[in-house]
Amino acid sequence: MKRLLTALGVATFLVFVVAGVWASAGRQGTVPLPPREATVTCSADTGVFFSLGTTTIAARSICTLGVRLLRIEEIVYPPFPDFSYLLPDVIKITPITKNKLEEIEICTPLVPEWKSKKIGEDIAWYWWDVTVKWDPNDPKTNAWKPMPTEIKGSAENPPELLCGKLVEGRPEGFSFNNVTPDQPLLISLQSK
Amino acid sequence: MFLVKTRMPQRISLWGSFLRSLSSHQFYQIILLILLGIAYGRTIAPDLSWANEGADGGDLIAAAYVRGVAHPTGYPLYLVIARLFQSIPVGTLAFRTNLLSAACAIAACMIIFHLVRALLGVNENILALIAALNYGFSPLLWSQAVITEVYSLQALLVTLFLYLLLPPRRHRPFLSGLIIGLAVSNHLTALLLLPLLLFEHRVKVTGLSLSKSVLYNAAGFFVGASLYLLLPLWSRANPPVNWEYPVTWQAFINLVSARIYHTYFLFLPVRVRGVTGLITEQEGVIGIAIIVYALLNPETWKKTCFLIWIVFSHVVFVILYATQDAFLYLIPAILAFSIWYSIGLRDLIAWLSNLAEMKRCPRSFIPKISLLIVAISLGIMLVRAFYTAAKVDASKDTRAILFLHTFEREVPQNALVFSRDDETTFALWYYQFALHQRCDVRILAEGLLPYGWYQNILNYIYPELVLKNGVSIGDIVLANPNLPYCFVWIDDLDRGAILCP
Repeated sequence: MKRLLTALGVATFLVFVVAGVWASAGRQGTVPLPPREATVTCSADTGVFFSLGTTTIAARSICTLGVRLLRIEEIVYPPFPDFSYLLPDVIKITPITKNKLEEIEICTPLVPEWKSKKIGEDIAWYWWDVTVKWDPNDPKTNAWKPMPTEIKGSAENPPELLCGKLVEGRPEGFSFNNVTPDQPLLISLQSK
Repeated sequence: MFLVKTRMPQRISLWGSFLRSLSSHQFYQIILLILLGIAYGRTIAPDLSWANEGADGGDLIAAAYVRGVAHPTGYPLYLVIARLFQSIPVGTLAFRTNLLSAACAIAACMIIFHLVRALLGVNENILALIAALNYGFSPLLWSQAVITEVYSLQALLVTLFLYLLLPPRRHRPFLSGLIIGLAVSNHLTALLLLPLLLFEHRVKVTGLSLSKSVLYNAAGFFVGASLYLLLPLWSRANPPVNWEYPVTWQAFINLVSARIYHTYFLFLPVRVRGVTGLITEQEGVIGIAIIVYALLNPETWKKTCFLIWIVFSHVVFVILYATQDAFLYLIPAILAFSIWYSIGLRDLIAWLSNLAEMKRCPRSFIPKISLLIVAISLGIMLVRAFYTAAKVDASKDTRAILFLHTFEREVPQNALVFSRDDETTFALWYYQFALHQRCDVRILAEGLLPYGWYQNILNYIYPELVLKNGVSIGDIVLANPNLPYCFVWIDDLDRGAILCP
């Protein structure tokens, strides 16, 4: 009887104590995951230029930046009204140390079909303005704002890239002072 | 009516004489075969499936089909047998490969039946049936029996090894080494079985000295594991699935040692609880109580110490190997729990019978106790099987096929397709390399792009693809400016997503 009671006791204890969940160190698949984030340090003189996913990012400043690719499903913000996300990632840039950011430029290879659209209007890089109070139920409060976007390079002088740039005060209302560790900068490529 | 009246008795008599011709253990084996056949038959995936952590299915099917090299460690034994199953003229190519898993799982349970009879006595057919069903219906084994994966074959090899390990089987050290070698050429975790060879030498009457026995073991092991040498031979033919391109010694070592995954080792303390949770899930609360009951008997420890090693070594490995699907390596451990379950039931019946005798119950009451315990146990097992079936059912998982249909429709001609995860990458390999569909597109596994061997493979499977200036997505898109490009990945709802900018 003692043995039976012990067995029942252990089984009951296990049911209450165990976690039915399975933990793993992130999603580690058979195909190794490509890097989705990077920490980069740049200087005012040389700046920094690096690639992550399809995008290349150039920053000019005294900074240490954390750059991370977020899948569009991870983003709670809907795209700009009548627009859709054009790349599967949204770029999140987080200043890690006290930064003096002066300029961030972000580029992606140009697809020939994009040339038929109005660059900077029908297709553009967007940044999320954290100073706007966003209400998920009110599309008017959508805070994606277009960045100055242009084509760099040409068919004769490749590579052809679609680039967007942020500098202090341009576009109007943008300020690096608002980009903090708590309020990282979100950038996405969107088109009509 | 007349026909029915005349033929029925003949049929019944044929069936009756067939049943009469069976020995008791054959009868129970047929029951086992029928029950598992129905369970697996109703839940097996009819085509490529992502169910039950089955993302690697596309890689294994395609690698077997093109005589290529699957992901590390290459799985040569699995690929050889899978190729044989793929030639069965029934269903889709993926279904035929899924059949291999079901066949191996059923064979493993059949062997457990005999293993338990060897442990508990040849008359213990019902307990042997219960142990075999317990294993066959355990969510872990069942989940792998209905999809393309290597774990059912591994379960079969481990079970076969344990069966040969026990008396009254004769001591055949070469054979034992061979089975472990074959198991290693299917999955490296079989290396954990090696210490049991010493156990075999100890428990069996043998005229061999230990050193001679080890020599035979080693010879058998190397013959079995020599299947790995097939991988460089296959690789030389430049198949499209050719992981690590193992034509050099270094690449071969990288492949067989799964070097690409070495960084995945990490101690996660939370997994100690996770593993306990998984085991509880396999056996249920009553099952765990019966297993603990068995283990509280020192005789069980003495008789099944080889099972304790199996559980211990696999649990430690699973806790340390931090991948998401590492819990599947627990399948051999669940085998031990199934055997302990039958031992626990036997002890419980014996205890209740003793109790009845002490209380001076009528003699006719004692067999009824056994019957009742067995009936309750089978009843619980069957009820749990219904719940498990719903959980592991791969027959209705159409995500991979839906993804391939959408892919067929939406991806432009000649596109560069960057795939991000196992599910989409391997589904597309299956689609293009095994089914020869959408051969116009170039499938590029984003996570493999930095590897030199993968760049070599891309060069020979897509000779027109330009890979100069680097191998990031941006570089490839820029170097092939006239080709459209797309991304495919698994979204948060585990569906395949496609985006073509």
